[in-house]
Amino acid sequence: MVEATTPAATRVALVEDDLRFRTAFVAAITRAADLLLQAEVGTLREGLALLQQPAADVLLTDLGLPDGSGIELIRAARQAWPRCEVLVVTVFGDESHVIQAIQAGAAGYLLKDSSPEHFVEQIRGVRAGGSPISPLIARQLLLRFQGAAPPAAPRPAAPDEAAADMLSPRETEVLGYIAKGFTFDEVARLLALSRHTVLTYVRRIYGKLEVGSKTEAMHEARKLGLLRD
Amino acid sequence: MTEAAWRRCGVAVALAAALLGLRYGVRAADHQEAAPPAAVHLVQAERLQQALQAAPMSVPAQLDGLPAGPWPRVSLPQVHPADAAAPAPGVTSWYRFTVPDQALSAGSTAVLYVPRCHACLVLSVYVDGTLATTTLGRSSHLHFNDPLWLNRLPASPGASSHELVLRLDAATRSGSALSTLWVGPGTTLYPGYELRRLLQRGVPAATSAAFLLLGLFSGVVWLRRRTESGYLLFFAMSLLYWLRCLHYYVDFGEMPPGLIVVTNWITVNALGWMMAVAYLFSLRLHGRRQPRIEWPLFGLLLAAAVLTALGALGELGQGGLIPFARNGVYPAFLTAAVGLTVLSSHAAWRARSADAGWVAASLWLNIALGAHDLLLQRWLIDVEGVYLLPLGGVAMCSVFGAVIWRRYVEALRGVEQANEHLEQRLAQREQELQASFAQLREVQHRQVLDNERQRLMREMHDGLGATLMSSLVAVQGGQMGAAAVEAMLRESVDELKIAIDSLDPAGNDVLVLLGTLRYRLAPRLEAAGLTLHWQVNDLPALPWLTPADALHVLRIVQEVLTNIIKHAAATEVTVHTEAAATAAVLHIHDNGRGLAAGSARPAGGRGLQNMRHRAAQLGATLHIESPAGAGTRVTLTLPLQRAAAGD
Repeated sequence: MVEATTPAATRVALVEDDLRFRTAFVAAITRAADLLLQAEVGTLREGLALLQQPAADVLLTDLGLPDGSGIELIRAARQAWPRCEVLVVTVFGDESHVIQAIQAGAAGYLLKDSSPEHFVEQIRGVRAGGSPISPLIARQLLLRFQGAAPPAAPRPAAPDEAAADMLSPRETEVLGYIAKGFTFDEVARLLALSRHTVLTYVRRIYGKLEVGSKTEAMHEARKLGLLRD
Repeated sequence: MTEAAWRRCGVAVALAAALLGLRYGVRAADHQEAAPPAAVHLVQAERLQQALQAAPMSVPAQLDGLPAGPWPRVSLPQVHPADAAAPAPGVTSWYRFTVPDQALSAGSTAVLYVPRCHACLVLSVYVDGTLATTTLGRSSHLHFNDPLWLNRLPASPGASSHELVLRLDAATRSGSALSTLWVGPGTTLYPGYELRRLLQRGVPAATSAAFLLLGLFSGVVWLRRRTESGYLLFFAMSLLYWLRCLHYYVDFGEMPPGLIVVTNWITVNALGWMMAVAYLFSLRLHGRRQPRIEWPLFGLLLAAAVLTALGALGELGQGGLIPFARNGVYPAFLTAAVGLTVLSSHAAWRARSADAGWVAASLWLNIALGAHDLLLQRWLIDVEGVYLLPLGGVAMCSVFGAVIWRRYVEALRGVEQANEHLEQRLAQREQELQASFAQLREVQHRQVLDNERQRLMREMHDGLGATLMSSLVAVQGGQMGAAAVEAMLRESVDELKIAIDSLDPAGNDVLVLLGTLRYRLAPRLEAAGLTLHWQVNDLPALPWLTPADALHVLRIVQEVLTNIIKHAAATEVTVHTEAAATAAVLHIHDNGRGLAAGSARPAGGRGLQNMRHRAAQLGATLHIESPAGAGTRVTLTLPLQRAAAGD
C-alpha cells in the first residue's frame, strides 16, 4: 500500500449513473486522506466532456451508462489522459465485460458490491501498479493467449510487439495459480516473489491484452486498406 | 447445317444429276442407233416328247438328227406338271427353235438367256447340232431359281438361220418347265438377266444375311436380359429366315447328298417354324395365351417335321422331299398360317395394339406372297414370275426389328426418365431431410435452452431463493437486525454471483470452479474469522465430467463451506485435493464443532440431503466424518472412470 506521503493526493474522477452508489463512493473517497475526488458525472457525454479538463490520476467508470457504453469512455480516456489509470465498475465482474474493458485499455475492475474500504484499497493498488483479477478472468486470459500463440501472419514486429502475442512462462504460471483460486499472497509464496511483483505481472498481462487487441485492430484496418503504411 | 443449307445442297445435287443424265442419255441414245440388232424373244417352239431313256443317261456331243415324230408348235412358257401317278419314270422334252442369224451374228457376245428352265434331271442345249452345254454330271439339276445364261454359242458361221435345240429330261413325278427364251447380244440381255438374278438370289441372300446380323445382336442382348423374350424371338425369326433363304441361292450341286437332304429338310420346315415364331411374337404383343391354338400348331409343325424327315430318308436323292413339300407341307402351312393370322389380327384389334397390328399385316403379306409362291412352285402361274416370299420375309423381319427397336429405345428412355425421376425424388428427399434436420436442431436447441432454464431455476431456488425467502420471513417476523439483514443480503449477492458464474462453468475444469468459489466466498470466510488453507493440486482429467457434473461438485463444496461458516464455529479450514489410483479426491477439513448427534442445525438436514443427492448424481462417494474433538472432515471421491452411464 502506498502511503499518502506522495506530493499530491490521488485525484479520482467518477462516472457513474447509480446515485446511491455514487453517494457511498464519494463518502468513501472523502474519508480516505490520500484520495481526492476531482469530478463526478453521470452520463457518457459528461464523461467525454470531462476529458477536456486537466487529467485525473484514476478514472472510475461504469460500463452501462444511460447514453452509451463505458468502453468508449475508456478508449477516449487512454487518448486524452495517457497517464491516468482507468478502473471499470462492474456488478458481477464477469469475464466478458472485464476483458472487453481491459482490451479497451482499463487497468482493472472494481466490484460494485465491494465495501468502501475495499474500493480505496483497490484504487491504491492500481496506483501502485497492480491490477485486480479473478480466477475466471485468469482462465479466460490463458485461453486467449494460448489460442493466439502462433501469429496469424508473420509480420516484422518490434521485440515488444512480438512479445504481446504470447505470455512469458512466468506470466503463464501466475495466471495458472490465480485460476486455481490462490490469493496473491499465496501465489507470491509459491513463486518466491513479492506480492507487489505478482500484481505488476497482472498489470503487464493486461497491457499485453490491450496492445494485442490494438495491434489486431490496426492489422485488420491495414488489411482493409483503411490505414496507410 | 441449317435447313436452308440442306435445301441448297439438294438443289445443286439435282442439277448435277440432271446434267449428267442428259449427257449420258444422249450418248446412250446415240449408241442405240449404232447398236447391234436387238435380242430375239423366242415365244414359240416345236416340241417333241418321248419317254425317258433308261439309265444310264447319255448326252451326245453332236446331235446327229433329231428324233422323228410330230413336232407340234407350242407356245412358251411350257409346263409339264409333276404327276406322281404316271407309269413312265420320266419324260424327255425336245424343244426346237429357229434363230435368225442376226441374233447370233454378234459372235462371241451372243447369249442364250432362259429366265426359268426347270428340268429336274438333265438339261442340254444344242446349237446347230453341237452341244453347247449340259447339266449331266455337273449337278443333279439346274438350281430352280437360277436363270440360264449361256454364251459362246457354237453357231456355224455363214448360215442365215440357226437351229437351237433344248433337251429337257425330267422325272414324271417332278415335271419340268420352260419359260420363253432370249437370244441376242449379251449387253442387251444382261440388264434383264442381272435384275432377275438380283431379285431371285441377291435379295434373299443379302437381306437374310443382314437380318441375321441384327438377329445375332438381338440374341446377345437377350442373353443378358432373359426376361425380354422379344429379343430371342427376333433372333429366332432372323435365323429361320436365313435358313429358309438358303433355299433360294445356295447351289447344292457340289454337296454330298446327305447334306443336301438335311438342308432341304431344314429349309422346308423353317417356313413352318417361322410361322410359329411370328405367332409367339404377336402373342407377346397382345399378351393372351391360347392353348387351344398352340397345341394344334405345334402338333402340325411336329408332324410336318417328322413326315418330311421320313420322306427325305425314304427317298434319299432327287426330288423326293420337294414334291412332298410342294404338294402337302406347304399347303398345310399356308392354311395354318391363314388361321393364325386371323386370330392374331383379331387379338390385335381387341388389344388395340399398333405393334400387333403391324405384325398381323406382315403376316397377311406373307400369306399372300406365300400363296403366290406356292402357285409359282406348282407352275400354276406364269413361271417367269419371281419368288416373292423373300420379300415377305424382309417385311416380317423389318416389322419384328422395328418393334424390338422401339422397345429398346423406350427402355433406354425409360431408364433416363427413371434416373431423372430418381434425381428429382432424391432432391426432394434431401430437402425434406434438411428441413427435418433443421427442425430437429431447433428442437434440440430449445431443449438445451430449456435444460439451462431449468437448471438455473433450480440453482436459484436452491440457493438464492431459499436464502431470500427465509430472510424475508425473518425480517417480517421482526427477527432480523440491520447487521443481519446486511449479512443476508451479502450472502444473496454472493449466491447470485455464483449462479452467474455457473452459466459458463469453465468447461469441466473443477479446479477453476473451486478457485472461483473461493474468490466469491473469500470475503465471508474472512468475515467469519476463518483462515483458509488452500492446498489445491492438479486433479487428473475426468473424461466423463460434463459441465452439469462440475457444478454439482461446486455446489457440494459451497454447501460444506457455508455450513462451516454458519454452524461450525471453526477457525481453520483446509481444502485439499489429491489424485488417487482410481479417483480424484477432495477433502474439506475444519476444526470446528463437528456434527455431534443431536446438535441443532437449522435447515441443516436438508442441506446434507442435497449434498448426498448431488453426489449420487455424480456417481461419486461422499464421506462425512466427525471424530470427537477433531472437527469435521468431508471427503468427496470422484472416480476416474464412471461405471454407469447415468445422469
